[in-house]
Amino acid sequence: MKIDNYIDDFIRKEKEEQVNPYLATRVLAKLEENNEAVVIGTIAPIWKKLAVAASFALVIAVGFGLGSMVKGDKEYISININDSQLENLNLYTMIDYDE
Amino acid sequence: MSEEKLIEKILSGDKEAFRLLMEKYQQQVFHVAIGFVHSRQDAEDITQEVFIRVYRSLSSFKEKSLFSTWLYRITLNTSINYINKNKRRNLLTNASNSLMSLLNKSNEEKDAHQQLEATEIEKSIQNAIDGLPEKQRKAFILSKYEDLSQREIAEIMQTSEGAVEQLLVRAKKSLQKKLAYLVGK
Repeated sequence: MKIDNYIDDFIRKEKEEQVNPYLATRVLAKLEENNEAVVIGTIAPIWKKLAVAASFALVIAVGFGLGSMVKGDKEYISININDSQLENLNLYTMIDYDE
Repeated sequence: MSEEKLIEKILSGDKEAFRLLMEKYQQQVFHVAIGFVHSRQDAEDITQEVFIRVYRSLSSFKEKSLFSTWLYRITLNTSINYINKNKRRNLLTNASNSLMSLLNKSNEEKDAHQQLEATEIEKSIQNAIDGLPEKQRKAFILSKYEDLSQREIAEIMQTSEGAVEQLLVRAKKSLQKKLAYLVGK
């Protein structure tokens, strides 16, 4: 008998073994035991992601809306920014400087 | 139901869909596992472990490759990890299994001498396969236990078809060398 035939016979015998028909049930029970549903539940579907994005946009729009609703007289304070009188430039340019 | 639809359902929490997926692929996973461990009980443990891993990481499955390719990769890794973890225990159980099968078979019609020889041959083949280097062993098991093509094996092992061909040629040579004494029996 050839070596290949011995090997093929051995493999054929092993392949004849059938998996336990209750294996799927066992796996599901094990997952249930560890409460694994949560793991899968964390994958957010697309509509959830869209809902979160829309709620952000809504909050920003409401903020702008409320801000633009504010009315009333605003008090303006005028500031004199002409400081030529505060400091005489002639002091630096030496023009009209009397010794 | 298509595979994509099934995966979509599982991701949305449908466990019955996961049962369907398991029933579709469990025999394939089991065959690969038994190629590594040669024991029904251990192969079932590996199969169970594989599907738990699949369930936990299904969300990371990118549909760039086939689901079966991804599943085979998980099966190979789980089987190798299982073997490494249980090396010492396997030595003892293998010895007791051989003894038990010998005792059980002695009641059958064949005479004890023939049974002893058959068990010895099986044990030699098993040891020869187990003694292959890791990559050769993976390629050999996928080829012989699952009848996959070299292209499919290359995809699973993320290597070239030429490399797979080389692995299979070397595995065959190595097995023939180790089992040469069987010729003429």
